[in-house]
Amino acid sequence: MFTEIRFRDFRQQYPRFLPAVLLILGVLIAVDALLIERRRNYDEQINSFRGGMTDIQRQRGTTLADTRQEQQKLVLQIVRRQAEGATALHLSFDVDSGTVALMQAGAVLRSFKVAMGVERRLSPLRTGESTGIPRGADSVRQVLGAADAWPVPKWVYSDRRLPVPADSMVVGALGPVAIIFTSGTVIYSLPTGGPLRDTGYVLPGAARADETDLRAIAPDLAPGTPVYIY
Amino acid sequence: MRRIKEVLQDAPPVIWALAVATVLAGAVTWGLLLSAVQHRRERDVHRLRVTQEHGLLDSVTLRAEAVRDSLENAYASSPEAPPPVPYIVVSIEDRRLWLKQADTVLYTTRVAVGSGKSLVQTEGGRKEYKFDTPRGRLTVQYKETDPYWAPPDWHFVEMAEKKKGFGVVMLKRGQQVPVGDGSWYEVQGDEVVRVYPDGHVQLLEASEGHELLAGKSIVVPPFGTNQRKYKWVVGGHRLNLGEGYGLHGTDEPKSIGHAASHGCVRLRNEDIAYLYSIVPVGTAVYIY
Repeated sequence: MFTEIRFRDFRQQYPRFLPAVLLILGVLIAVDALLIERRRNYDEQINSFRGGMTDIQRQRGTTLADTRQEQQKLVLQIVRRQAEGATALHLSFDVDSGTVALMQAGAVLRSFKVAMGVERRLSPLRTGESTGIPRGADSVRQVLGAADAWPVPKWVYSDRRLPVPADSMVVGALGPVAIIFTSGTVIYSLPTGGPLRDTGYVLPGAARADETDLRAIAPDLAPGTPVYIY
Repeated sequence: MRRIKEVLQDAPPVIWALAVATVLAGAVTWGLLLSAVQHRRERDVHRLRVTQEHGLLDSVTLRAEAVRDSLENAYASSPEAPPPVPYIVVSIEDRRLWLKQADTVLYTTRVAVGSGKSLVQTEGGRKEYKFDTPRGRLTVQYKETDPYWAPPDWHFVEMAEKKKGFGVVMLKRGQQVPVGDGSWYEVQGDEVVRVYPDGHVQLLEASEGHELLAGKSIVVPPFGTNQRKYKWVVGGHRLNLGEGYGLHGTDEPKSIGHAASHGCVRLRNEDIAYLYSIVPVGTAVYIY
């Protein structure tokens, strides 16, 4: 009762105070509602941009990967075509199918299958030196015979869980006949000694061929003979 | 402020509550305003990044297209493989011949190839003959049926070596080689003849293993004479590859599959007859 009287007195004494306060309160509530709506709107836009950006980034990643794959395919096609069209005697090495051919001017003089060693990084962290076979144009650096020594890389011994010898040069390590390319890639035959003397093991990043095939083509190969790897 | 202070001093609790509510509403509004401004800035940053990402994507796509175009041009301008025409391949190691077209083998057979032996002639200056089949790309230059074999000089050196203590003597046109009994060999036209002191002229015949002899020497008739044309030695057909080399038949079929020839590629007579019938002049022959 007392409060009502005071309130009535107050309204009579200050007739504009209450409407003003109510108006301010109303305006503030309206502004709050507006701001909340705007913020919700901004959030929606941010989420939409985030989603869009993820799509674009994904698209960019896919584009890059596709492009790289397409470029690789085209480069390999070019190398293959160079191999087919080269007029000089050369070796054509199809890594995917594991086929080596001695060719000249489109003629296939001899084609033979080889066992491919895996292509992988040598470090367990998958970084650093790898045993990958470089695709593209290469050339013969050397043709080795049974009496020739080859420095067996240390990692071959660890790969084969064999003790690493002090002298890595092993006579006949690459078998009776082997071809070494300028890039270091090796096509070898099964040796009778050394760490590669195992039919179940192919030197990673290299290819092992039948001795008869290598023996048949070796006399025709000289340092500089072109090799096309694809 | 003083006025408000006066008003509030007299205000009942309801008015106080309203005033407090208004102040709180103001604070909330201020907070919401700051938050909205922050969200708006965040949105602008995201919008900028999306624009940049679009630009990057465009540049990646454009670069990829440019590289692809360059590679396609490189592919188009790289030399095409020659049209697939038949060619012959001979493997010295395998002693085998293939007639191929592209990767397809049309015909294959065993052959005899160069023995790899060498022969040294000491008489009349040192000369070494090596009986290797030449490696590389040759072509069928011309074809012959019933070819004769014009034995090279080494054949006579080889025959002389087989007949212990014999040498060779070269008979040249316009020259005479005395036989030892007063008669002599000379060339008349395309024939090597033996002329006796009484003027009698004998037409001679020579074949492999039956060469002309002058004392302890085997006579080497000049090229072009009939005495240097041996029949049936190289079978019924020959594909000539130049420089004296060829693909031909043999009178020694047992030698097929061996390193037995003096450099030519020997085939069984029926094989060379078949090849002769299907291989045109100009066919490439790859020997490796």
